[in-house]
Amino acid sequence: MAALSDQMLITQVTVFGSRRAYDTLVQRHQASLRQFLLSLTGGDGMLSDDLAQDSFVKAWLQLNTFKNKSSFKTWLFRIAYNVFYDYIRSRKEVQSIEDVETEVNSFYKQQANDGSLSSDIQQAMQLLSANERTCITLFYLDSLQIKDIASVLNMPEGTVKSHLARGKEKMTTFLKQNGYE
Amino acid sequence: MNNDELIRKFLQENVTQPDDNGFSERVMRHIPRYTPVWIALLKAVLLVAAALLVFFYFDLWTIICNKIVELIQWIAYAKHTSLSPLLLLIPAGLLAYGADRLKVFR
Repeated sequence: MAALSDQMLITQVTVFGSRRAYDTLVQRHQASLRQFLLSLTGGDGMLSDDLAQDSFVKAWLQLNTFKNKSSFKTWLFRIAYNVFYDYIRSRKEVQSIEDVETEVNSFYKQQANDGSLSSDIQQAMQLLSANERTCITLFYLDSLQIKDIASVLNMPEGTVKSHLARGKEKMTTFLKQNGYE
Repeated sequence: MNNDELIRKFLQENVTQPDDNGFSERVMRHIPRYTPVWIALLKAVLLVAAALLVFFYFDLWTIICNKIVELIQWIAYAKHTSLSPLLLLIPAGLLAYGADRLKVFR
């Protein structure tokens, strides 16, 4: 079953309710999804796994709404991103989207300082804003295209490009200053 | 090495993807039962077919028509007696509720 495409597996789930097909999808995407959530949570492994599990359960429940307009991975990451933001909102009463961004940033810094990330990556990531960090991770680690990142983060492609450009500039400066060339 | 390659190399060297370590198994234990679309449709079709069968077998259409006629006769009778006209609100309310429920099927 491992050789089947995501689309074939999704069809097996929606038409026949195949748990085995969904298990293959989970195994295929768990590492990248947990990595993505680790980058959002500042390296908190337990929290990332809880959020990843919630994301997979939500995806299972909403699978019949998947329209194949994007890849399954992009769709799954979008669910995970919303699950993460819901978690942040549930921790603290936040009024506006800016408040959420501030809360995400302070949450990340607090988690990152607790120490599960290596010091260089921790320092590099802390230089970035929440959106820059997410864009950089999705672009360089998960190799998502700009239109897919825009879909995950629900923002215009132009905004994603701006976040990427700013993040890239900050990271390049940091890396060059620290002897990575 | 250009800037893109520099960042990509740095991230790939410093960020490791987590191993499964039973994660997929835990997820599969938490997912609820899923009813495929065709089973849900089949159930709906069977229920409608059963309802239609009962409806025609017991000639419910005639019974309903008779009841409506009785109701109209009762309303007409109520107009010529001392019964409170407010009682008319009950069948009116029931009819309005029925009409509202019919919107679901449109």
